[in-house]
Formats: sequence, C-alpha cells, structure tokens
Amino acid sequence: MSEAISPAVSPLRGHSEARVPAGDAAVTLTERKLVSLVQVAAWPETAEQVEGILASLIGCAPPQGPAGSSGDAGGAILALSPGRWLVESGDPRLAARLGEQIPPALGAVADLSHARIAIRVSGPKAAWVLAKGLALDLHPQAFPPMKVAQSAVHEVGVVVRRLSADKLGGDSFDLYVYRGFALSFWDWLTEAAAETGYRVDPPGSA
Amino acid sequence: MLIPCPHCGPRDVAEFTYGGDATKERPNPDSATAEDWCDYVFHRDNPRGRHVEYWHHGQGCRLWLKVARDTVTHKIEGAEVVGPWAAAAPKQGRDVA
Repeated sequence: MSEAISPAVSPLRGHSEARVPAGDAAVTLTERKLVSLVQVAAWPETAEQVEGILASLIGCAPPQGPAGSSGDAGGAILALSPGRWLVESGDPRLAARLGEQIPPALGAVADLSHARIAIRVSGPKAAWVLAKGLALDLHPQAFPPMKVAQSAVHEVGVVVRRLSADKLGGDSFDLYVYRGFALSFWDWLTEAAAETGYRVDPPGSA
Repeated sequence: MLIPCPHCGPRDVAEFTYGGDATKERPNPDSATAEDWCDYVFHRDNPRGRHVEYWHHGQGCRLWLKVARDTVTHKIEGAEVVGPWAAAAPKQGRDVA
C-alpha cells in the first residue's frame, strides 16, 4: 500500500534538495514554500468589485491588462482569465480572510494551498529549458515580466509567471503545478535542464 | 494549428476541446416543430471552406470561443469569446500564421 503523505510534507522531498553540479549550471531550480494559494472567481457583474477587494487585502495594485499580475513574494495577484485570479500570500489565513470578504453573491473562493506546488526556474537559460515543453512564445516582448499564462506541459496544467528581471538579476519564472503531478513534472524539468546543466537551491530559499 | 484566443493569445490546439458547430441556433421551444428539433440536434453541414465552430480553452482561460476556420487550409480568420464573459474579454483574437 502506498504511504499517505501529510499536506505539510512536500511531494518533492528527496528530490528538490540542494544540489550543485560538477559542470556548468545555466539554470537554477528552487522549490518555493507555498503558504497560501487561493483561487478566486467572480461573476461578470462583480469582477471589478472583487478585484478591488483582492488588491486592498494583498496590499498591491490590481493586475494590469489581461493575463497580468501584481505584487511580490509577500503577496501576489495573478489574473488567469476574466474574473478569475490566483492569489498567493504568506498569510496562512488568506483563504479564510478572502471567504469573509467575498460571499457567494460576489464570487467563489477555493483554497489551493495544498493542491499546488511552486517551482522557481531562473538563470540565463530558463526560457530555453521551459520552451522544451511549454507551447508559448516566451520572448520578453511576447511574454514580458509580470505576465501570466495558464497552459500545459505534456498535458499537465501549469500556471507560469515571469518575474521582473531586475530584482533577481536574470530571467526568472514561477511555476504552479498540480501537487499530484509534482514528481512527474520535476522529472521532466530536470531532464529538460540536463542539457544546460542545473543547480538546485534548498527548498524554500526562493 | 494555433487558435488565437482573445484572452491568452495564440495557443496550441491541444489546449482546446472542440465544441461543435457554432452556426446552429437553438429553436424556440414554444414554437419549434419536431422537424426543427431534428434539424438542430442531428443535421450538420460539412462545409468545404469557411466554418464557424465552438472551441473550449480548457487548459488556458477556460472560456468558450467561437472560431472561424477554413476547413481546407486550417487558416483561422479570428476567434471571439462567447457566453457570460464575452463583454469582459478582448474582442478579437487574430490569426498569427
């Protein structure tokens, strides 16, 4: 029988620990620690109001334009589609707080904190590696920093966000992947990055 | 084949699910005859050339689109969002090919 894993334990344990290659490493992979990740979906009539609630609760501007994002590691809002957002925060009570402010008449709040894992891919070859499985135009003009895309890698759903390059010194992406596909995705990612060489930073360090 | 999603931009067809003929209109249940329903449920043209179809962007924004596609060349004229979010989404996705 398979062993039950507590939601507090990463499905990548034993895989995402720090690793330094002997040769080059043009990509750095880091499993991020997700405290709160919540999906909020509004009705067409309430979308604007809900966006305002999210922005004031997270303390940042609403995402600019379709498929944009705002905020940083402390709290971020990712616009997935009209009236649907992914909200990340270091506040463990985020889902409860959102639920209090967004009743069903305004929208739906779904806590995904234990349903996703977050991986940061950075380094000069980050886009090159991701392009092996992601059918998106990752050129900075087509997919600039703060842009968000919900897409798939080999049919596994992935939410991708490009981070602002200046802060982290180089290209950087945050990926949100289904928890049940975490290991399979990590396998794909490390295999894709084998060509350029990759370093793994300790989980939670990004 | 790339479908120009008005919200997400051009995306691979593998992210979409085909939703059928978008030229059929649901008959008015108060006045429709059995023939009207038979036509609506079963009869489909199989045009050679321009066709309008529903596609669902299930692995992206999850919006329903109406896509005008040429069945011979697979050239896509454009796509628009249908349903409750039609007014909120950008109006037209254009073909990039």
